[in-house]
Amino acid sequence: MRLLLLLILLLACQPKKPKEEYATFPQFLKRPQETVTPELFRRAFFLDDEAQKLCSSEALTEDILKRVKELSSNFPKLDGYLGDWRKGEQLALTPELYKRLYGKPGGSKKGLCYACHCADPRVDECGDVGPSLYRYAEKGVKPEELFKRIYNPWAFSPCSAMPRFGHHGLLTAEEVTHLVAYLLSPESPVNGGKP
Amino acid sequence: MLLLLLLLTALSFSQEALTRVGLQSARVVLERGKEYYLKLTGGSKLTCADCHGPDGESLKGAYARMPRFYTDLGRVADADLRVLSCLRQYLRLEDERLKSRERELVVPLVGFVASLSNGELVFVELRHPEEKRLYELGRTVWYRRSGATDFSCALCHERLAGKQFFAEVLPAPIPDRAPARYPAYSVKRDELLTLEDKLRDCFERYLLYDPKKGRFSFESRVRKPPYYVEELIALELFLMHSVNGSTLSVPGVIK
Repeated sequence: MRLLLLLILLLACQPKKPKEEYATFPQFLKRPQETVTPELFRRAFFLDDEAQKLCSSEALTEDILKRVKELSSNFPKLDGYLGDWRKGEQLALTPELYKRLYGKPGGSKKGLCYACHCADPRVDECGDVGPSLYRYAEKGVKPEELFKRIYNPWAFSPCSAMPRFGHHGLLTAEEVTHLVAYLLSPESPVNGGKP
Repeated sequence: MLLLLLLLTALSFSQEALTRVGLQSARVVLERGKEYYLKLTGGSKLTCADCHGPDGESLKGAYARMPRFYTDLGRVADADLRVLSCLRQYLRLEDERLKSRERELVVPLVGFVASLSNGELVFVELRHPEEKRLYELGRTVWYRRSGATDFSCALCHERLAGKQFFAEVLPAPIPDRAPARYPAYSVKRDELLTLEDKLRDCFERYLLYDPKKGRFSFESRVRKPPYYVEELIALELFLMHSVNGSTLSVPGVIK
């Protein structure tokens, strides 16, 4: 048994052999060739989005900020802006964070809120790029305004670091309402609720 | 029992040990680069060493000045493109042989050539009009907000540098002089990455958008810029120029 383990260990510790110069690989093992042309790359990188172009300026003047604000005034009209905070929590927590809190699979990589904000006090791996959202409900922000702040943050703080989740379709309007509930509902752990 | 203990110690790498292991593996790649340098030949029957000397004496300091304009190429090239062009034009490696193995040959060679400049100071000049143009383009790319997240290189690595992102601190590569440590060995990926490789990865993770779909899609999107595309070399030029005067020390070790 010990001998076998030693053998495995020895085999595992061998340095990676450089591939033979003339080695040929079976076609199906090759990774698909990338077909991104320079033109396609340029279109994807230099996106035709006026607000984005303006925010790329090294000096963000008052005029730029004003114009970006103007460009960021399109919002879907909804009947209600308060969704389901539990669904919001699923969007806000990454699968790793969710597993740590609840011991079961859940969460998603769609919101990534904790990359930049702290909120639920049980989560300590949270960023400080944006303000802490702990007890956000106490701020008295109306659901519709909060919806807009998540859907397109540039309507309030132009060129801010926060992604325009709704504008780019990273989150649907409905998903944004769930995050609104996650931040405003008194039952949500963000506001001290006991899940 | 003893074996188990051994295994456990081997697994509980400290950062220092990890760096040592990383450097060790990186040196294997550099050795391979040297082997290619001495032995690799194509249609012209020339090796790199035939033109640049058996120890690469004439290439000492060359990497510290890249990217730069090359008259024979008629464009600004980084080390990756310079090496590839040599393989094509001077060694005359057949396209068939380069097709699938291009990076396998280029990366170790770039690593070897870069290591010849260890200890030299980065000194990227903007003399040729093309170098000036690419510097400006690189600056534009650095500040350009892009993709579905509206991120830019500068947003996270300049404006927000030092802030916490999840449990990580956002690094500031220019003040930290990080570009002077590439090519670097990635411990996680067990691979040597050139500066170009590293920057392509950043584009994949944060900056690209699917122009075909019109909206961001998690499944299908333009993933990385093509190799040697002007914008990428421009960004390298901008970064290397920004760390002019730092001591080149390769291979670096990254996560």
